[in-house]
Amino acid sequence: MNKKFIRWLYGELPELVSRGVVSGDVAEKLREHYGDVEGQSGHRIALTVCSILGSLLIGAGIILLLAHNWEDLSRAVRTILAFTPLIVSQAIAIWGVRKGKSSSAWREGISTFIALAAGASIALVGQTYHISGDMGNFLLTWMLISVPLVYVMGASLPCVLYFAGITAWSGYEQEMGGYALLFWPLFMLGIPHIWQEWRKNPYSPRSVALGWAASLCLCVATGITLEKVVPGLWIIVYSAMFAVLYLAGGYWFSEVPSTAQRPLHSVGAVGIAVLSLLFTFEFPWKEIGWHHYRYGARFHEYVAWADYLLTTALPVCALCLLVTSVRRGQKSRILFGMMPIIAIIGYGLTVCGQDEFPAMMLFNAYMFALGLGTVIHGTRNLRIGTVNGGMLILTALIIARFFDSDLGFVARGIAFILIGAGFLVTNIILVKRAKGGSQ
Amino acid sequence: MNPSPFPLPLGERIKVRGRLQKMSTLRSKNIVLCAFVCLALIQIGVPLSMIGHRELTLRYGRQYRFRTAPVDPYDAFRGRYVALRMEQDKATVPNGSEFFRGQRAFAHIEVDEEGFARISNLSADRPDGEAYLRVRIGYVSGNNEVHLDLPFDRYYMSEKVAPAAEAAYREHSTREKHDAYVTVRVRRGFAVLEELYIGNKPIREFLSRDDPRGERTEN
Repeated sequence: MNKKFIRWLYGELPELVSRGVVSGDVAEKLREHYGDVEGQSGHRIALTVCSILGSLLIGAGIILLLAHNWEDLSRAVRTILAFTPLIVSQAIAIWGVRKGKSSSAWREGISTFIALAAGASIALVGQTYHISGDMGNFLLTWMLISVPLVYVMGASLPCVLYFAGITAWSGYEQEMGGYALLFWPLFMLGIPHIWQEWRKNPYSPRSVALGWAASLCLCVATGITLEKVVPGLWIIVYSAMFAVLYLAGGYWFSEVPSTAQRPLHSVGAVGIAVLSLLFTFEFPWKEIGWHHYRYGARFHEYVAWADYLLTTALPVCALCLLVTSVRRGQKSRILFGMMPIIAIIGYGLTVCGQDEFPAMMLFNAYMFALGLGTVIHGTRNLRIGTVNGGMLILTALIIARFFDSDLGFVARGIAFILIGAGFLVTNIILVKRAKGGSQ
Repeated sequence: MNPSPFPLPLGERIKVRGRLQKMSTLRSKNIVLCAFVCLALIQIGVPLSMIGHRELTLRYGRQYRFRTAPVDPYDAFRGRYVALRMEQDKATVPNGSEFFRGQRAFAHIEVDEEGFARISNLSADRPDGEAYLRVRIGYVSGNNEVHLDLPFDRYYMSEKVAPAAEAAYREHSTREKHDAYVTVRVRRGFAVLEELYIGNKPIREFLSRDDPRGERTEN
């Protein structure tokens, strides 16, 4: 159970005992069952953050000091200075390991500093020898020599930096006509660490940070690595990917209500809503399908198998998770979880009929159902945040259609007033219901 | 496993358990230490190998001079370096060959009558001899030519001398006045930029002697 809830329970226990709701014995048994909650976890997080910030600032300061008189130094001296931050930080790390230092603040701080120093040393050597600006090679080398820190030191921030780094690398590599597909095996190098942290505590700040980093990097890198020889497959791939994130987040990380602590679920839900809005327009459906197969030097047919694999595997995963969720009684997930099915139908209609209109209408209907369903779900469960999310989806749809249509300012103004009033009235009703329920 | 017929007393069992835990902690600490030392050696080794390769090329490579090309006045200096463009950064595709963007290739070099290097041929395979450069195909243009990404496209300088360096490089890379060039050391196709020359002087020397006020502009 999340430590926040345990602390809340411990806070409630004295009052419950004094009112005779639970006996003193039961209260003791509850404390024994849940054990100690580290009262200092807030301090530990602050210490870790300060340690990381301190390392970053010291590293940046050292580099700036060295840069001041860089031009006057010989190549040999510059080389020695380029290595100094790295060697010093490694020596400190070895000392700490020998002394048995195990606090997360120390491990995160020193690992981050070593990762940055390694990148700085490569960059400074590049500057000393006027090395050509191949950003892709630099990023890849830097990330590959930094990622082992995650496992050797048990630190998570280097893993977050690693995900960001390989995502940037894939962008450069794809731009230069290289093999951005290597992003996927590189991404897998960080997965064991995420798995370890999720097993320990899926809601710890580390696990949450790793979840956000991995989800957001996947959102960016998936599109970069697609070869796109068959236009439009990204519609199915992204729909399925967001559905998988949403359903996996709901399946394995449903014990906390906080959106921030459920990165997979949050990224998936927002992704589905945003994509649905995009698909209500005409432009994503233009010139897609096998009839518009792309040839040319920029497109590598032999790499396109990865596109086909993702187009097949991701919807299958999403469907399996959807069926599992429904079997568990989580019927509220159906609307969001069925996005890949709607996307496949839309794609099929467009490719076979060579007309974008049916797919657009389908997604207009789907998005309306999505918004309405979210509002109803939020109303039933007295979740104001969910209701507002549903209203936001409906509002976005209505605004998008207004920009498409030829309605005048008066009609649009009235509609916006009605939508705004709807927001306010719904919120007031929900708050009153919640207060009535608690009384 | 059958339990021992002579079990230790509780106090002794606790001591043994404690010793075993200490040994396990020590073993895992040693494993982490060994792993970290290996990682540290790799992290130091990567930039060291970059240096070693380049130092060998600077010491034992053959020197070539490449003329620089006229530059866009707003693009000559980016951040802390002078962006260089070579006069010859294209090559004709030989008959029967095909190149694509991002492909690695070998540019054959020969020296003209004025002592400047020029690209005489392009091949996908390593040629014989030493007079070649490892390059990457930038893009393929329609008239059977490819644009090459040469491995020396920048010269790092201090930001303090930036305005003067930019002005000097621009002034000496125009079509009317074209006496800027770079020296590059090449060894087994691997190139290292040695120096940027303006008016036959290294750029730092040119800047320090070219100040009209007679003051040294270099730090």
